[in-house]
Amino acid sequence: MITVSAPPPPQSPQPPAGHAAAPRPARERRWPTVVTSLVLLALLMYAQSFRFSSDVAVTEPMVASGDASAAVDARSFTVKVEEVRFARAVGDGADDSGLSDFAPEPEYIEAKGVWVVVFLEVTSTERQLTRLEAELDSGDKNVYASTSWLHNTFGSIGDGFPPGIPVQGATAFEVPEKALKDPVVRVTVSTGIDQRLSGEAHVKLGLSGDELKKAIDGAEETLDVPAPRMQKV
Amino acid sequence: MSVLAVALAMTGLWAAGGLEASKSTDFRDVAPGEPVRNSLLELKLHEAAFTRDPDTGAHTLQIRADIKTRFNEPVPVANLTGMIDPRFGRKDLSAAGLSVALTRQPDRTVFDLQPEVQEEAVLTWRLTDDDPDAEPKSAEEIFDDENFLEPADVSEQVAQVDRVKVTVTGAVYEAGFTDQTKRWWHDTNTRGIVYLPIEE
Repeated sequence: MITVSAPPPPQSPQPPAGHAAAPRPARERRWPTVVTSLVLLALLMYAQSFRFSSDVAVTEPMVASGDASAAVDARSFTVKVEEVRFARAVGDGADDSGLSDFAPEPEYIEAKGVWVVVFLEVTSTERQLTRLEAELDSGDKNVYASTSWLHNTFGSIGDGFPPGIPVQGATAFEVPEKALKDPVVRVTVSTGIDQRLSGEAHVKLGLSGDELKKAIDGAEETLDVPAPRMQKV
Repeated sequence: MSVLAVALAMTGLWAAGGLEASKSTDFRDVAPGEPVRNSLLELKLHEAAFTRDPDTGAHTLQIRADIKTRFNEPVPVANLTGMIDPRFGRKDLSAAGLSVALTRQPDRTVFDLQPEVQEEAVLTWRLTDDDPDAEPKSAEEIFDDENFLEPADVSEQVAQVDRVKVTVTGAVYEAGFTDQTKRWWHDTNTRGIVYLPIEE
């Protein structure tokens, strides 16, 4: 319910010169009409501000914002940032099966800058979602795409997010160290064709200033990124 | 009298071609390694070579370049189609399907250019025997060709070509194609023309 405080009633209008002889009761009934009209006009203009300026805006993802302390609810999915790790080089980690001893050493990819690896827990809320896309707003002014060089990160074709089952995995960003100020990870999870009508979550990582600098300076030499894992329920 | 003089002067100008729309491409020549800019890219094209894809045997054109975007969001490599346009001055050889790899990670394809990150890259185009100015082929034309999956054999053309003319066009950030989402497109302006000798 929208409540609007009515503007103060205008001073009772001076009757126009030609109607000086108009009967008194008619003039008294006029001011509520004027006030009502003004209120309705104001309401109209207010409602107008909710109109979408173009067709795109109608289907654009709706953004839900939050921080890393709790899961952010983007309606069609929820996402929780579990951990943020920094590394000089990243590679695809082997899985935890008994065969992992025989797996080849991961090929590590050195960053030009630093790797920011964000570990996420994503839960679809309504239906099977298949595609996660992530970007990192560095907090400076630039937005960076997640890397496509790792197989284990979210964003590959094989992703699947069944409703109600938390999926844990990571997404990695190669970012110039200087650009990092107050990073926010942007996550959309959709059904593949495009992002129209899907949810989008912006999660503030809560790293800035000295804390961020310390984290970058303490970046791990190498980091094995694990494949996404569905939580057993 | 003066009206007549002006009319005469204009006629003279017209006859000499002075009223034609300016193409102004002659003075846009840029030496290899010199910077070319449009509103999206800062480019330096260094050298070109013909190579063959080790897996498919397809002929490719590779250009080594310094590349940097001036946009604050990632730019899909697909948006650069037509913006860096290599031509060989022939009707039977054209370059299509740009892909990008960075020289620091030569075996990995890059799908997005990160904002304002200076990179040394290898730009790779597939070579076909199509006319570069022809209309795009219809699906029927493509699939009627029994060998449509086979890469075109352009070894003859490649042997006769020793330089490539690369036109860098302007860039605009506009809506279009499937919906009103904005993306980068090439426009019809010429920002620079680089002639690169092709090494064998």
